[in-house]
Amino acid sequence: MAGKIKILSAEELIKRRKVADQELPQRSGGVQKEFAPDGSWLQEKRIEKYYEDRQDLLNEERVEKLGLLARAHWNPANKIVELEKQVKFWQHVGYVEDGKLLLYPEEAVFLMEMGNLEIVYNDVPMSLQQAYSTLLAEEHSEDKYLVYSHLCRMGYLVHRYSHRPDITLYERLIGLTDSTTKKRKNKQNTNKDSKKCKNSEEKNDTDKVIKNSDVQMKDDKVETKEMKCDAILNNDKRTRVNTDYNVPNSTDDVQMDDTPHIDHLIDSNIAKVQKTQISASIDKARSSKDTMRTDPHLFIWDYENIHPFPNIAGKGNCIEITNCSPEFLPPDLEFNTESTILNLEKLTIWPKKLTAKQLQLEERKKSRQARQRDLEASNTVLQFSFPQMAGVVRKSTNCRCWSEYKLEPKKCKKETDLEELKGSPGGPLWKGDVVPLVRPSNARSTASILGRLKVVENIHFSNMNCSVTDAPKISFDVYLPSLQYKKSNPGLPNHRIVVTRVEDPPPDLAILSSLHQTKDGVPLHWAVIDSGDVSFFSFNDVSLGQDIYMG
Amino acid sequence: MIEIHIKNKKAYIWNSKDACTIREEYRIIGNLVGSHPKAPRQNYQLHLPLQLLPEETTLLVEKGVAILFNDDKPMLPPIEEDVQKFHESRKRSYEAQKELQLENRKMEIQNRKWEIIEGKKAKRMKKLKSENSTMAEDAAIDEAALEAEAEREVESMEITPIPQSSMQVQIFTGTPYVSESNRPLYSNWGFPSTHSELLRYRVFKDLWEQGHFLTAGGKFGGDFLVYPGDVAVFHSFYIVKCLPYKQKMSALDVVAMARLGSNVKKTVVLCSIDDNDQLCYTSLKWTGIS
Repeated sequence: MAGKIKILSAEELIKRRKVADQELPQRSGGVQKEFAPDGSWLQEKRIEKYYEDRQDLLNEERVEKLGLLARAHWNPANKIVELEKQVKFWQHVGYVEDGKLLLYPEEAVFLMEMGNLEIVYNDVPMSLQQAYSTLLAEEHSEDKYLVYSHLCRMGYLVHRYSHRPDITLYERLIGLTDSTTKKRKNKQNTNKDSKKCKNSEEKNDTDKVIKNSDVQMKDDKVETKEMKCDAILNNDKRTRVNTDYNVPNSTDDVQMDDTPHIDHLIDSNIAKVQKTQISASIDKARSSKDTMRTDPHLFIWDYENIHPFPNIAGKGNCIEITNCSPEFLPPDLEFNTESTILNLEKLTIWPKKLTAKQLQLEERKKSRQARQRDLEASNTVLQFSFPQMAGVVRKSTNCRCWSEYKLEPKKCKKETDLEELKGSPGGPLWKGDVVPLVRPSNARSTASILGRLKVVENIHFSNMNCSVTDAPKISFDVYLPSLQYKKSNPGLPNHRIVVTRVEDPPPDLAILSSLHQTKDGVPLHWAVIDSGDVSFFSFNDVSLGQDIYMG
Repeated sequence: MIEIHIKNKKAYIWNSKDACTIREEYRIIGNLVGSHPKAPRQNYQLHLPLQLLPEETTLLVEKGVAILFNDDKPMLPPIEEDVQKFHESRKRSYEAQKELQLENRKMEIQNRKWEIIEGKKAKRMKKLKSENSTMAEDAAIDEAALEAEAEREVESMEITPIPQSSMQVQIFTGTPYVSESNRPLYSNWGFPSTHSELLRYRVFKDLWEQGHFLTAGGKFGGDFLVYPGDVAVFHSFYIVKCLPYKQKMSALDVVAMARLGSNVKKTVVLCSIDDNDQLCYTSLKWTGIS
């Protein structure tokens, strides 16, 4: 009965060696498909030719030089495949356990299909069929293998899904997660990003600070600082967007459009930065009677590269702030005039003429001392309590912790607003528990009113917090092929894959959201198997834009 | 007999002969899922195994042309005898390949004999000339002798046989050398067992018996695609959708199906079994009155 399986003789084996890679025939003869059979001789010939080609194609056998085949042993007790020694493909596949080089079953079968590996059991090599029934014995494992081999044949590097819980998009952006080899790539990206930011900033005449910091960026270490600066710029942009009352999709925010959570992440990070700064300054203010002592935790942040203020600077050193909305100020501050002059000279932390040259070795010591002095001096200016400078008045607050402090501005604003409103002709509207959503103060643009009227918030997958117990599992992490790829530290995958069958119902919203819990922004794809056919689909978050005709 | 191997309720064909026969003689298409040995890193042209639809499998068995084998069991551990056999066969193959390789090499040398002799002669001449440049006229006398010497050298040239590491081995796709007793038949192929499976199978069988070629229809959101001739040469005509006879559909579903069909220039055919156990087909067509 074994007669149907072709066993090549020595002559045939030798002959196959000589046959160089010939071109595979085209699937439909390389010509357009025809409409319907018309019984013509030509069509008959075409089909005949196709069958011949197909026979040749299927009669092809895997023939390899013995010396080029890696050998792996099947261990039936532990159900593992153990490689004899390290080989070329080891940098992409396999794992080490107890000092053994092991392969996952799908990797072993795939390498066998690629003609790289011989899996032996008691010294007898397996056929592909035996490998299928032995290694891919678990239920649905052949479906997963189908997806795995499909992606691998396309050139992707596919790994089993491994959950790396704590990587945020921000960490990914600054390259904390990636292996050193990937850094280069990342740096290019960040450079590009900062350039992008710079361009957009230039449009707004406010790039003095970036230029300053650009000069200082010299070595690789600056990379992360650069990102910080970048992030601050982003934040600046965000606040500007905020003051524009959240017009969705500001045009230069390409990055933010691509990834929904990025702005959120960066914002929160910036909030942290600013919080620290403010807390530092407030601490200082409280202890200002004491002599200047360098408190170590005040200097966690590298003030050389972080500017206390987002760069609002234009050409001059003084800028005028008009109608500064109290929402954006700390609760205990208040402008006492309509407009105020902000003197940036006082805000600049280091001496203005400090250039890259001065950073050279000989002068470094001197300048550091000078800077230290300046830093100490300017830290007093840094505090937000400079009434003499910004024309603001510090009110007293009685907050005990940060959360209270953060709630403060809203409270203040609400109270003052309400008092005003109650006194106005429409006063009765604002008395009682149910009050209008829109206040007169919101009537600055159509967008701001629409924003107030939006009762139902858009929800993103990652914010839904559903946990479903029997949700399908993510099967694979997919990486783009790259020379820098490192198996031990592959970084974040480019795609993730869930394998489903065509008879499975489509996932419901709860399952979807539970699978989108990882907040690292890696796209999740669903692979659907229909008796050997693989197709992919994915679910994407959509935020519906708001049409604004006026304002 | 066509040999179909069932593993985890999926049907595979592991030899090329059967894979060709079912396509050419029985109009069964299936789906190739393995990598091609010659060009493994592409998804365009695939190779064995050939995965069959359950409908295709049942049909082949029902027509009495196929036999199902159980492939669920993992490979049995090879016994000492098998190991011996394997080592012997590999050794035999190596010896034979060594011989063939030697012959090939000899042939090659014979074919290019004169080129080699020319080369050797030139080399020798050059050496002689540099040794005693004054005796230029003697070199001419030597020429015939040189040629003879070079020829002798070529005849007695030693050919090193290929090492075992460069012998060619075959990675088997289907399993060879299996005794009949080690190939258990598959006894409980329970397809079709549910109503919807039965509906799908009856539709498949009926259309197949009418002479159509059928494949899985997932690509276009149907149960099957129906082709007028071989799948490789013709476009499909119909998207078949199997529905229970009394299933209620919203007008939107109908519109969606009709729209899909017209967009891909195919006809959507709704198939079901009526109360009298008859198959009935309904086709959808997108029309407009203008």
